[in-house]
Amino acid sequence: SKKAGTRVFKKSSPNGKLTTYLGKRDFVDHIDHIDPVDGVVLVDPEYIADKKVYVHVLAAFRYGREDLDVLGLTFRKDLFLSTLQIYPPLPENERPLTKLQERLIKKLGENAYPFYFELSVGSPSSVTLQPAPGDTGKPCGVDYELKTYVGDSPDDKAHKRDTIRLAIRKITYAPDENIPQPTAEITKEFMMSSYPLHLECTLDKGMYYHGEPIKVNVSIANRSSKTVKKIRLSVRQFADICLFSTAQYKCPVAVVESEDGFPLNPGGTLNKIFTLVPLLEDNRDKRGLALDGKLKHEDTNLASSTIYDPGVSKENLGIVVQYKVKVRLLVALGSDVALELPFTLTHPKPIEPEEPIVTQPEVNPPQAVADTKPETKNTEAPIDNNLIMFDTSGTGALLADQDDDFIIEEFVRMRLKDHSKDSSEA
Amino acid sequence: MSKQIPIKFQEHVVLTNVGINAANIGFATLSMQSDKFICVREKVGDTSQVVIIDMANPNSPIRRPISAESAIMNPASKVIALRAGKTLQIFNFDMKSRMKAHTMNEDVIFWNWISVNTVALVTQTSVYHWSMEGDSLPEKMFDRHASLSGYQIINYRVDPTMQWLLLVGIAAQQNRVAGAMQLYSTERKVSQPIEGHAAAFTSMKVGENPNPSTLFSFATRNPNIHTGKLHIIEVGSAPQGNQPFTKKAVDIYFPPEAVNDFPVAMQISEKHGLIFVITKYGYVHMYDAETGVCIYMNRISSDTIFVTAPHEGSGGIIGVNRKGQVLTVSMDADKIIPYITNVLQNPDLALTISVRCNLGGAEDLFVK
Repeated sequence: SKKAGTRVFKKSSPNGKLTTYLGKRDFVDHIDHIDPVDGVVLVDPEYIADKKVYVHVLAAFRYGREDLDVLGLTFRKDLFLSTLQIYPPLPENERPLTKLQERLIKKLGENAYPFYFELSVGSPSSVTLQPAPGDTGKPCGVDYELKTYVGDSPDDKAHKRDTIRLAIRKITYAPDENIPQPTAEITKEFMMSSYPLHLECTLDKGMYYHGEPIKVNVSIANRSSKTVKKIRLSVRQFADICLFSTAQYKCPVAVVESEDGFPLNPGGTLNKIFTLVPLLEDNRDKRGLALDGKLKHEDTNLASSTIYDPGVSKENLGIVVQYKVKVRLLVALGSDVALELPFTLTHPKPIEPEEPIVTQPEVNPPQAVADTKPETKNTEAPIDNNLIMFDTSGTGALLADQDDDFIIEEFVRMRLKDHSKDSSEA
Repeated sequence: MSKQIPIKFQEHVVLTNVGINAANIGFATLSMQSDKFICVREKVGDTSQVVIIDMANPNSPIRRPISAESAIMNPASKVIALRAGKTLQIFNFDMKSRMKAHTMNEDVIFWNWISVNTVALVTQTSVYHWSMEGDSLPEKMFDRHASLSGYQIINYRVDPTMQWLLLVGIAAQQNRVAGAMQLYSTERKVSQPIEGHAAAFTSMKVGENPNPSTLFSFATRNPNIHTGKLHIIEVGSAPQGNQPFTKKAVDIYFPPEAVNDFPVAMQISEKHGLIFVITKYGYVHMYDAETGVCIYMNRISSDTIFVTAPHEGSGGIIGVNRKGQVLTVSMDADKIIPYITNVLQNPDLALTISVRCNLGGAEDLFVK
């Protein structure tokens, strides 16, 4: 079976002496574990000679525009930082190469040095706060950067000429579990009415994927003496900005108003299903709206619901996003009746890519280490992997494939198109 | 041709000329269990491969993807044994099928084929024989002797009757490479540690004896004096009707420029009763197994010959050096008798060998 090529991202420093190779730009928080950030840096041995090369992953909450920073204040709070010296390699950092690293080093040779980061559990997800049209510079929000730089110590001021910055994202997919259908009801008594107005709403699901219609089942029993003029349904995004103190911002992202079936007179009932589709497309004008972390010049979507362990402090999450459907009945000559139904908006969990062809299948089948049974009692353990492949129809082709099956994608430098000061961001 | 050389030297193939990467020509990646096949593990791109060079057709190596860390070809047939950690598998190349598999409790640190149907497995603690017959499992032969602990195992040999077993290891010590061996008798179930670097067994008729004797020969280099010793002894008691073999111990000459040289390999030609010793520096020595007389020595390779096997066709030795030369050295049937007669001036030996090997050139000895 022929496997598709492995996509690899690469970017070189402006002077071309260092190149970072990365297998992906999106790192998924699977809740129980987070994709490690692994790759290699190819160095020019003559150039780096006695210098040191570091790689770091930095998650920062950017809350002010850098172009406004005239006083030297940084509108930035670092949420997560991990720095690794990759050259000269330190023995204490040594760890087995990942498949990707092994293959890259094979291809790039001995001047390629591996790096490997594990993002800590509870580290924030990438969120971009939608800039206003015309805003320049990096948008506010939580972003991740993988930086490769040269210096004498990790804190050395890096020169732009031998620095590589790669924007990466941490994404959370909601676990694929059955969330009960959100349901809510409210009974409103009015003065001068002997009976109440009753509103009951149910969502068809507890979790939706971006772009998926949300069906709201609305049931009204108006036994009051008031008239319900119309209904308004909205999807609202709640963004908790956990910076120094928590502030919450609310923003409607989908609204439906209906007079179909209204007015609903006293004694009337209504059972109806309304559909809402929250899309970024309809909300481009809303400055400050939370979006899923955006890589420059790539489109994104509304921020996914933040999945987090309620036991963990929100302090380090940066921005916590939640969604609710709000249903409001507008009552003539009386106060409105409203209720809310929380739900989760997320991405479908991607199908885990099949493990690449294993070049070194498990050589040590799991086996009790302390097995002290005499050898003769060791009946043939199941050994499933053949250590040799005889089926070599087109071995040559297979080898050629294996050799070249990286699809290297350049992190495009936007210098020509984009004259903003942060031109090295990709 | 006034120059008489009693050996024939032949280069069969240079492995780098048939696509083998020079980096993979070494003890860890290349195996040669007999003069039939050479097995090399290579990495091409992302794929580990085994390359099998059939010496009958050395210019068309066969490559197959493998995931093993050791591959050894059966000495006779197209059967390959593969090992990855504790996992052992035997495949028949022609049938493309797995014949046997086994998982050890311990890592195998050295292995080789000791006959056409037996693989020897050496672990950190013990030595096993694994027969290819039926469903046989590896059978423990003996526990390793403490004298070899810390030694890198470089060879394991058995005598033709499989009653005498020998494990060989080397270790770097001060300014030299020390050799240690463990000789084990299956009959008496006892081990004997011996100092030595290279050894071999053979079975040959000696003198007027009606039955062949089992001879064990080993070579050492004494660290203090600049010579080595070649020992030839009969193991076990002499067969009925035989005169016991008188053990021989002769010097192995190392030239003054080869101060740190030592024996690395030995093969005995049963057909000709000749012992071939190869040294680290690429010298070959040819001895008469019966008398221990050194017939000839010369340097044949400036690169280390790191693996050898008996060369059946010529009754000589086949070896591979670091450069990838596959070479054989054997006696030259036309020249050996005149050489022994004229250069060594040893008519008795010339006669013995001409009779043993059924060679001409000794006719005038009878006249003398």
